[in-house]
Amino acid sequence: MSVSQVADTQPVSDYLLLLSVSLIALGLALFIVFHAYRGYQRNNSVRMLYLACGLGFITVVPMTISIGVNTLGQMIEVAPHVYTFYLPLVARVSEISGICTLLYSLLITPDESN
Amino acid sequence: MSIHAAANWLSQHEPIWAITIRGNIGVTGEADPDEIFALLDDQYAQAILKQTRNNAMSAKEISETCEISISTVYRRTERLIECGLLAEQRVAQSDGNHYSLYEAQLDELTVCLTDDGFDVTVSGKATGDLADRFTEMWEGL
Repeated sequence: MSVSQVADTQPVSDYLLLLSVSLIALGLALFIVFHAYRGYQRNNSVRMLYLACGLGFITVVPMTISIGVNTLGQMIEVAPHVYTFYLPLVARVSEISGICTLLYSLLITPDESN
Repeated sequence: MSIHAAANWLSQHEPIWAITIRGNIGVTGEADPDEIFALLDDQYAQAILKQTRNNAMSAKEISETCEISISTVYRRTERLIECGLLAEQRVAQSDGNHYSLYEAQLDELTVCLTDDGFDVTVSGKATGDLADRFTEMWEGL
């Protein structure tokens, strides 16, 4: 790897560290989402379904996209605009929908969940 | 975590679990103190509580491990549940029937001598699955 390449793209060591930390976060998020989903299955609670979806949109989806784009960036050339604009934009949109889903889960009355 | 997770995955392949946990954490004052004393003095009730302290068991399993007749197990579990010492989980089966799993709810028992007699407080522990407690917490909001 030439000096110019290192300057242009992310160094591999940085990428690997970022990837491992992201995977830990993703695993923990999936654990919580999984238990929320199981709460829905076991108790027939619609609120838990929305909680699981909301948590998924807030945590799992942005993390997965971020890992995916960064991995893609290691293999092929990705425009810097993707990292600075599109990636954060998609992550924020996903987070907004997740927070709205969580709010909806809080606002529906427990009676409807039965 | 891995064993727990594996058990969770296994349970995914069973039909949807309909769970009823009677008595919540920190149930107090509902049960009759005399009934609780009588149960704690009873060797079968003691055996049931000991066996189910950390794992939910069906009446059949309790009957086999404690060598108590199944009818005695049912009689004792019913009384223990009424006092809030035992939790019952109903598990639905694919054929439409269901069976019950029992798990000890009792963690600590406090007896206070007051002017009105004995005041018994049962401190329950958090029983049941993580997912169920999560649901309980979220629905309590």
